[in-house]
Amino acid sequence: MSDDKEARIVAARLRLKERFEAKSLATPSQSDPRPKGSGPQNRHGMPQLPPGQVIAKGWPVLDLGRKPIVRPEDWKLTIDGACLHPTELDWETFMSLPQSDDVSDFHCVTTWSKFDVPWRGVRFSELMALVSPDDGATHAMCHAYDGYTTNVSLAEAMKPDVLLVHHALGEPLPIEHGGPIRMITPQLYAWKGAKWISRIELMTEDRAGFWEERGYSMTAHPWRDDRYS
Amino acid sequence: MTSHAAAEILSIAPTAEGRVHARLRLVCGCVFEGAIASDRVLDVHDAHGGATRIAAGKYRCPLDHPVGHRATADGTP
Repeated sequence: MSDDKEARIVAARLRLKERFEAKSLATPSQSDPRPKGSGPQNRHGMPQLPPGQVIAKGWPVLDLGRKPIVRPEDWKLTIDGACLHPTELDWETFMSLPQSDDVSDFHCVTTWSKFDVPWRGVRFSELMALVSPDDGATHAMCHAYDGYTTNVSLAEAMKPDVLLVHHALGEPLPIEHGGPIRMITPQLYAWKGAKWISRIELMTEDRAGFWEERGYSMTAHPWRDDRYS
Repeated sequence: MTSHAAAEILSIAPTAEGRVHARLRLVCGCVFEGAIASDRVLDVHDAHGGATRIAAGKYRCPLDHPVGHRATADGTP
């Protein structure tokens, strides 16, 4: 990477932090004074188990019924739309980005939660520093190789626990769980994290994705039991 | 067709490898019946340790109830 590009990315990280930090802190999963749920507080101050959820040890496979087989050498991620530097990343470039390890919970809208999943991947915010979202960009539509789409606000997606992961539970992410790369959104219901992610489209207004067009929530806040629109 | 989460497992029986035949009461009150992947059937517990079994995932509603439609108190659609 050239010195100029590296300097641009470092400056973009700082600008994005300034632009989104307060917005992320104001989201329901970090600011609700009386959140619903039960159990001890999690690391962002919410009850560990959101309302209407039960605790699962297994990790079932849920998808649209199509499992696209995308080999890492064929995988590409396009980031475009409302941004200054649209880009396409291949596997090698993606793996050369700063990698993050995190342990977070997974809340499925179909009422089960899985606690303490170790993940490894690249922060969504790191990808945004590469492309510099326009000042008017507010949301992203995430597209997947199986045709799935889902929308997420940038105030949510810029949180440090939102990752595009290639490892889960210490192993490469299996195809059935969205490998080689899926997104995770630990502070939202898990459908907001696209499996087999192929494109992040930055948008200046919100738009419904696959499940959202079918009546599921545009915002998907687990501690508000926010499942349906 | 709309899809809903399952509220209750009415019955499950093994079929071919990796599948079970399931009758599920959906959150809208309708009954879904069909083969599902066996790993969708999960043993789970609530925050107080109470154990139960659920069918993870969304299932097609035979009456096409809109998403968010809830069954009545007695469980009927």
